[in-house]
Amino acid sequence: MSGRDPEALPYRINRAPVPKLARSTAMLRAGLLSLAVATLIFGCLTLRVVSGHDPALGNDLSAGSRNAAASSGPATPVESVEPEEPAIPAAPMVQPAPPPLPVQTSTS
Amino acid sequence: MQAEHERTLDLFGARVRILVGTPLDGERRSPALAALEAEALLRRLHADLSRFEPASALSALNRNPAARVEVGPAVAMLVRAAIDAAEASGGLVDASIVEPLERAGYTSSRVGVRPASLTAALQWAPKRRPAQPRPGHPWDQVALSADRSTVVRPPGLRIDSGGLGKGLAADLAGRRLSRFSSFAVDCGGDLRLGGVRGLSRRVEVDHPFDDDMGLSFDLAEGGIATSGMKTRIWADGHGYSHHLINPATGQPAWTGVVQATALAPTTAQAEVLAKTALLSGPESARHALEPWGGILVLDSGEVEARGGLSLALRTGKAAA
Repeated sequence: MSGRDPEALPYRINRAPVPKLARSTAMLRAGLLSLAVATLIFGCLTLRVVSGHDPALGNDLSAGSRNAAASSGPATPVESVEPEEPAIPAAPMVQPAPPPLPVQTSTS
Repeated sequence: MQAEHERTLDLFGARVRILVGTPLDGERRSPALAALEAEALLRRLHADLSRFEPASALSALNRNPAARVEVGPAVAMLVRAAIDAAEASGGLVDASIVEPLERAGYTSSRVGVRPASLTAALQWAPKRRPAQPRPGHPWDQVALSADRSTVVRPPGLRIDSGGLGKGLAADLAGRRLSRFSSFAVDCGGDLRLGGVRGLSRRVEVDHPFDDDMGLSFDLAEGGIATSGMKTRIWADGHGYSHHLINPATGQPAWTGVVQATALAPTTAQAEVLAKTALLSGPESARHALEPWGGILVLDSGEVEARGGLSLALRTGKAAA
């Protein structure tokens, strides 16, 4: 041993700047992670809407129970994209009327 | 297709017929119910306006010696119409000539009484001349209060409902049937026609000289009345009488016209026109019937259509 107190050794902190390439890689990695999380959330929400699976309820809803659930709580708003058929105006109903009977005018 | 609903009854000293088509325009009553309600209205009017029913409101007015008499709505309506008729006819249609009518022998309803021969009566009748209004125009002294509750007239002046009462009744009953496809109210030959659809109806007209012959025309809406001496004519000790009185003389009128049929917007108007035409003689009758149309039958049996009315000749018994 050289008798030097290891505690006395100069403590060197490497303060060299992070290379630009490494910094870009980190940002890219964070961006990809965010994108993955967002994709996962969107996927879950889509799956819930399409299949009726409600993670909060923890079960897969059949058609009947879906309706019951819809009537018992706030329904997920789903806009219909079905085009409405234009209403065809009903033809006026012509009620048949009997022909008037003959009458007679006479002296009063 | 079903025919119009038909209801017949005897009223106003004549046969009454009510015809009702299909309910339209939100009308909720069946034709049968509407006809029944029209009948009830006609019966109430007859009970109020008959001169031959002692218990009628008109008889009560005629018995009352006072100059001012409170009356109900039916009598008020009749008095208003009688005042208008006298004014429109220049006094020829005079509802106050009850006494001359009774003197002539028309003291009770002539239902079921066989009339005398019109041909024989015309051979006997005096020289033809137009009727004239009564001297002094007593109708000028008849008034109805503004609230239509009181009749003011010279004490003793009596009023006859006659054909005017039937015309008013037909108009009122017809008004309650206006939302059916078609309707007709026939009060002893005084007709009110109408209906939502505006369907034409054949109207038969009696021929005064021949029961097996007649005339007909088509009409969808309005009033029709015929005045004539065919059915209310009788022999008295001196000759013949009938119920169409010359107001000036108080005697039956022999004017050269034996029957006049008038068309008008309402039956009451048609009644006044028909009687005016018969009483005023052939020349004035032609003018009276020109605006709305009509038919004249003269003493000679000659038939004239007025106002462009298109007539058809019928042979054989009438269908109506």
